[in-house]
Amino acid sequence: MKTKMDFPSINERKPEGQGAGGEAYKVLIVDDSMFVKKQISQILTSEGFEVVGTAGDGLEGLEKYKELYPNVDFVTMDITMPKMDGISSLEKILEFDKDAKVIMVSALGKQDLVKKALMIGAKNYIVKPLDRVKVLERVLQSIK
Amino acid sequence: MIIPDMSDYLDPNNEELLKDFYVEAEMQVEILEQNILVLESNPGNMDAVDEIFRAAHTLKGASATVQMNELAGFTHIVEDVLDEIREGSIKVFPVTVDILLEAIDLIKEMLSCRSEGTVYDEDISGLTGQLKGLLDGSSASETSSGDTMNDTAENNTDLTLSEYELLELLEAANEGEKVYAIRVNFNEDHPMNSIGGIQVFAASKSAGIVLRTMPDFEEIYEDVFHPEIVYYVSTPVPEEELSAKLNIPGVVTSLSLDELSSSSEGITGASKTVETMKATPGNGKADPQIDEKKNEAASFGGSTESDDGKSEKKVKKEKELKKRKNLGSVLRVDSRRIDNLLNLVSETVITKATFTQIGNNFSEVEASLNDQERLYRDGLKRLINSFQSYVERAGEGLTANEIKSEMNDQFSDLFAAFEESKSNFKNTIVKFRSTSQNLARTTSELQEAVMQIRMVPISQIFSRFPRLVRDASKSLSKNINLKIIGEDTELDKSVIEDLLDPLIHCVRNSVDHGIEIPEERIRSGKPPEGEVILKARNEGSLIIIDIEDDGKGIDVEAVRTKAVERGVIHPSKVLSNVEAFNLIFEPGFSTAKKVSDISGRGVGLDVVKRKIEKLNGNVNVWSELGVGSKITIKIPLTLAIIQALLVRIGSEVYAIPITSVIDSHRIKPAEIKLIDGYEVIDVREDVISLIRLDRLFNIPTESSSEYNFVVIVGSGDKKMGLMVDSLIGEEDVVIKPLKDRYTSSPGVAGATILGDGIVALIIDVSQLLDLGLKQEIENRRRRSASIM
Repeated sequence: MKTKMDFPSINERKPEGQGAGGEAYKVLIVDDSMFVKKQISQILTSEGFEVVGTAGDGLEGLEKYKELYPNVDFVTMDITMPKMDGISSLEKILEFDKDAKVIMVSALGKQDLVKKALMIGAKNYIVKPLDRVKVLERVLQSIK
Repeated sequence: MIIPDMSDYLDPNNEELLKDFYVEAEMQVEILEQNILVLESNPGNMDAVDEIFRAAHTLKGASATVQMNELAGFTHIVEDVLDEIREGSIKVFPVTVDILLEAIDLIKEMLSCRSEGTVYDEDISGLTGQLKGLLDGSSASETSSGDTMNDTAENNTDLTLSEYELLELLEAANEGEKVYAIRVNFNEDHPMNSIGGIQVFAASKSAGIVLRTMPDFEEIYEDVFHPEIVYYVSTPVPEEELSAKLNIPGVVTSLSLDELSSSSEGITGASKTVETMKATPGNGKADPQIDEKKNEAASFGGSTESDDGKSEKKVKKEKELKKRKNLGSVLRVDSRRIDNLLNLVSETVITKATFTQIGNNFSEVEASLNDQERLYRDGLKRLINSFQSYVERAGEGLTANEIKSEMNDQFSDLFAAFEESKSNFKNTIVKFRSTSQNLARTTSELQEAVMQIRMVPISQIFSRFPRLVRDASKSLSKNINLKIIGEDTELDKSVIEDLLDPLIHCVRNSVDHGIEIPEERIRSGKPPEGEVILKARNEGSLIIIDIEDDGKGIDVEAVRTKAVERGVIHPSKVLSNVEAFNLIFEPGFSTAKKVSDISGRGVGLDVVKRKIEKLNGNVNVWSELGVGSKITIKIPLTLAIIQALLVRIGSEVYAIPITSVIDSHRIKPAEIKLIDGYEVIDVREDVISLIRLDRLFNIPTESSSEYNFVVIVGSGDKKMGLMVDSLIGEEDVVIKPLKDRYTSSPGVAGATILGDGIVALIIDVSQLLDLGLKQEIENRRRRSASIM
């Protein structure tokens, strides 16, 4: 790109949220907490990910996924949510797209649910309180 | 790679995130409180339990994220209790609700401490003890589930495979795939450390077939941490790839792969390798030491706090409530309203474009007018120049008629010289008018839409009352049912914030003084359960809030006695009911025989009145002894734009809020009478004292006109006539507050800019009434001093 030739790059590191071709990984965030939603999206966008959608409950998450598909690379999914919980939503998403990459977001103390989700086919899990390093590490690990 | 450092996203000083946190936390606390009250009246309502649980859960997660550990720790205990309730192992008794509500109060206090930048540091072991008491009471066999610490599997099973088992495994493997024994050590310090085993299991499963695990899958699935697990996996995936896939950072500490073949020896698992480190995960779990006795007392219910402590707490709580208001406020707006606004704005943009076009049209008209004028002048010049030749030709015998017709031929075009511009001009003007009409419509719609955005449902403050009434009635051992009507009624955000305190006072007043204790109610033939109704409704541009109770009503005689006692009225004064009702709004007036901590300190209703008047509203009371009483509050929907009566005094224009205008009169100077040295006029049956605004505001006028105008204004039972030079009319005015100390002055509520750019001051009627009264008292004092 022209800009890269014009300016010396002070940041050689490629943003983690971009694939080999420089295109951003697209994420759908499903969480009933506006706060957590915002936090995840801050962490991910800072690394070049593109948040293509957010949803406030499992049902909406499922609908959004179907709507976005195939232009979505992975999903972060809260477990405890109104209407449809994260695990049912995960099941439904996997029914729809068996290759869907879903990363569960769980609070401490919900081991059984996380295990259930992993067995169903969640790619990974993140524990709240969210830690930037951990979140990125786990997300990258799941999508690469 | 990612810098393994404390990330800025977790910075507890991240303002924006914190703001969001508080907004959400407050919402969750509200959900908690509302649903707990639902639960109290209907202990079987599982939806409410789910709601409560979810709110507590969200709150816990969020507070842990912003590192408010005391909050997260405490909420965690609450969540445990709620979990048990959800599972049905804790029954909901009134005492349970009390403890939960107390817990929510504590959460609120923790939040408000945090929002002020301090950390709640008081002893909470009493309450946590009560909560834990609930947990312990639930079932003896159940461990205090959900705790973050998981028991470490003390005795690791022997991770050895017999030769026979090994053969079995190899047989079960897919054709052509290799079988690996993958020995994985797990990090115990990782949060929720018992998941790791399953995570690796899931990862292995995605690579091939997990033939077997040591310990068994069921054991791994249990909520127990296993420091080491061996997975036997049959997979086509090459060794390196597999190892990369399973080596989950943070979770797996070490991993070794061994390819199995029938010849290989049984693999001995090195058990008990990992040193058990009982480091507490960084979630700051509160681990208070609870002494047995307290715990016991708590589980039997009943708060262990003294009453003193409680009222102290209450005072503190109120203080905090006030402080919190200083935080920047966030408004949640229905997106449809924003869409509507955008729509209107786009219309304005179109109108702007039309105006630009009209501007162009006008300049075209001007240009063509110039051209035509030039032609016209040329024509005129020709006409004048031709005059000489016509005279000459007349001398040669041309008749007047011939000349006329010739001139007509030559100059008839002058008649139509401006026709074109005229019609163009006309068209443009028509267009201009309709466009400016459009603009007027759009602006007023825009104004309304912006107002709409600031509108919030009154349920925002009404929702606090169920709790308030519940607590108050409980402490007074009364039986009160609160009915809320019209909570969808919307009003301006700024109004709603200032409305809370007055409403609290009124409702407390009803609960405390209005509703009788059950025995007394039964004696007077009423149902034992009292009723307080909180009702809001719209009426034009006003919102009306009724606080109604079916209690004992206002005792006019008691009010009278009290008023005489306090010297508020003269003993000989005949007091009408309405006057007596209004007396209760006087400062320092309370007929309660005993001061309770809920109301009756004599600070209350006068504050209500003052605050409501500050909102340009008014308060009225109706009451019937033994039947009940009703306080009616009327306030304008919004404070930003008011309807005002514009009046002229000298060369100045003043605006009087229409809500306080009663009527207006045209009087002759002769109608002004003097009573006791005051100027008064007769209005129907009333004698109204006059204030000359020109004198009050020091405006020079030539009051030589034949008539004067008097605007009668009033708030509550006070009335006064404001004398002005002329009335201009009614108009919506936008209030611009005058806040700095040079421009703010008594009697003036603010300023507004009128359509023609003139600044008009808005008169603060209630202040003016006081001002007039003060002046009156001052004059009387001076006069009586001079008599002495």
